Amino acid sequence: MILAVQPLTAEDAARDLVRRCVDGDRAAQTRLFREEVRRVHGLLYRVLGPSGPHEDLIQETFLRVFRSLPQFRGDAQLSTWIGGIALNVAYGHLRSNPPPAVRLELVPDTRADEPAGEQLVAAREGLRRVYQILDRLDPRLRIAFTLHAIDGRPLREVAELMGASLVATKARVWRARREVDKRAQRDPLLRSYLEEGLAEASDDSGEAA
Amino acid sequence: MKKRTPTPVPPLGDAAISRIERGLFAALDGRPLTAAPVAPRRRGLVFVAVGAAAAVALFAVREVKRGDTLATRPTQISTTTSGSRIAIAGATLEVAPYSAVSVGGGRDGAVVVALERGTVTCEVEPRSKRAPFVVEAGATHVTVIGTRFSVHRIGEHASVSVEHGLVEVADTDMTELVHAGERFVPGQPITREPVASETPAAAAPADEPPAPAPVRAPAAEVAARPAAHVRQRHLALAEAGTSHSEGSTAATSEGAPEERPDTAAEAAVLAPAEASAAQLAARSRSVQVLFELAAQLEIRDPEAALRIYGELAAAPSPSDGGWAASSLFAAARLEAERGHAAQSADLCEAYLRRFPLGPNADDARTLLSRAR
Repeated sequence: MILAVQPLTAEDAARDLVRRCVDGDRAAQTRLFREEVRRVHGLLYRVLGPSGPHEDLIQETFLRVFRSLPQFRGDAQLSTWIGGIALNVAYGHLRSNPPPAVRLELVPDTRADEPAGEQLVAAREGLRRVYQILDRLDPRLRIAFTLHAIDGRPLREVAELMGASLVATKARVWRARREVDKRAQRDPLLRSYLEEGLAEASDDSGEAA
Repeated sequence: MKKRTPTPVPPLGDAAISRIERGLFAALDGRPLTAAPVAPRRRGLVFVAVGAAAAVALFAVREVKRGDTLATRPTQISTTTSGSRIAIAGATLEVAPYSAVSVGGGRDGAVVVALERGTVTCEVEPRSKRAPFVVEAGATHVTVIGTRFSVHRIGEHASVSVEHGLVEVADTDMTELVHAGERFVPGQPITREPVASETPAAAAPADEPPAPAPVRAPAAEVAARPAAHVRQRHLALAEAGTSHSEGSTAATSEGAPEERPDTAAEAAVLAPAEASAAQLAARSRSVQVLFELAAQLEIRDPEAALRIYGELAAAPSPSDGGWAASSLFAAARLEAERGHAAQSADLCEAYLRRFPLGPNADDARTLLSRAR
């Protein structure tokens, strides 16, 4: 005896959503966009830092997603596949847009009496300086480093997102870390962060290996 | 080892998401890719709505001046709590609350209104000497000959009600002419009742689509109903289905609450007495679509899935190709999967009363014994 209904798996639902998007169903396209837009934003923010043209790049990412959906074979999860496209967009942006000589950005004001206000300001300044250093790195090294060392993603996931082997990804993270470390040693604020943060990252990558 | 926590990513605001979405779909529709417009981030929804309406109005005025054809670049409008009235070349559109349409051009200079969600009512001047006027809602395409009509999106299809005039509705593998006072619902024969009889719709809340009184509730409307008294309604519907299968015509028999006038109407529509074989086949397809929709909703929105199963379980069993039995068992299984043993047991018992030799009778007994 068979049951009346086979429950729909997540894969089935994703496949169905993709099919509808490919057929030009605007409601399905809207749904896919809204389900994934925050994840894509998070990914691009990590790689580019707080000053990137995030909205333009998110739009470019989804344009490519919808134009490439007919080629989606379902080998990877849909979100991973979209993440890979977002990283390609970020890579293209980094390659074609050399960093400005002086990087200016607006940061929200922090009240002097706000708890931990000083630490917050220092952290923001530290983040800004880290991305200044990252601006000088090869985009591939930068993407691998930001996703692993800043975003905390396992190396295996970074490798899958970048479409690279685990060994190549580890090498990229290691080379990026060496560069960042070298430059950060000249910066008192970053030196203190790196002594703590990079040690933990080393532990993690050791585990992942 | 101390676990590192990633530095927080500032959230992407709803206004930013809307800007990106508009730019994205404009680009997908063939507009030149431009940077997302810079807009103040903290303005009320009122300003968004006014801005969208103004954009559409400007677009419409420009196109009217240009002639009777629309450019291929569509303009999108989404409504929130209040609807919108849009004048375009030779037509007026009333976009209901919580609806979204895009207006653009098609082949041969056609005006194409794409209904993405909700309801749009169109008043269109006769098109004899004008470019075609088409409303697209998923797989349902309505070509206007000169009329006033409403299109209500239901998943991948749409229902169409014509107040006056004539429209041609194409849906998947069929084309129908729908005259004044008729309603088209996918997979069902065209109903001849005058649309004006749907007065209860006028009393519906502003954010709900008008409910078609004499027609079986479409999937999206069923899914959108409030979740209150779901279980009671399932049982009532299941018992009502028993009455039908046993030959009774009283839809308000034992256990059925008084709030069920629509069930009687549904049953009347579903009664097979005068229906032709073709109509029965169409009805069966429609029920299958609803069943599959419910199956898809099981994970994302189990309450909606249960409501649809409950509606389907109320169908008179001889005419529905076995969907009532499958739906009733599916509801029991879903309740069991959700850990609602008592509800599952009640539904299993209802199944075994109605379909003691049904295809899932053994499964229902197994499920029942587990639930007990």
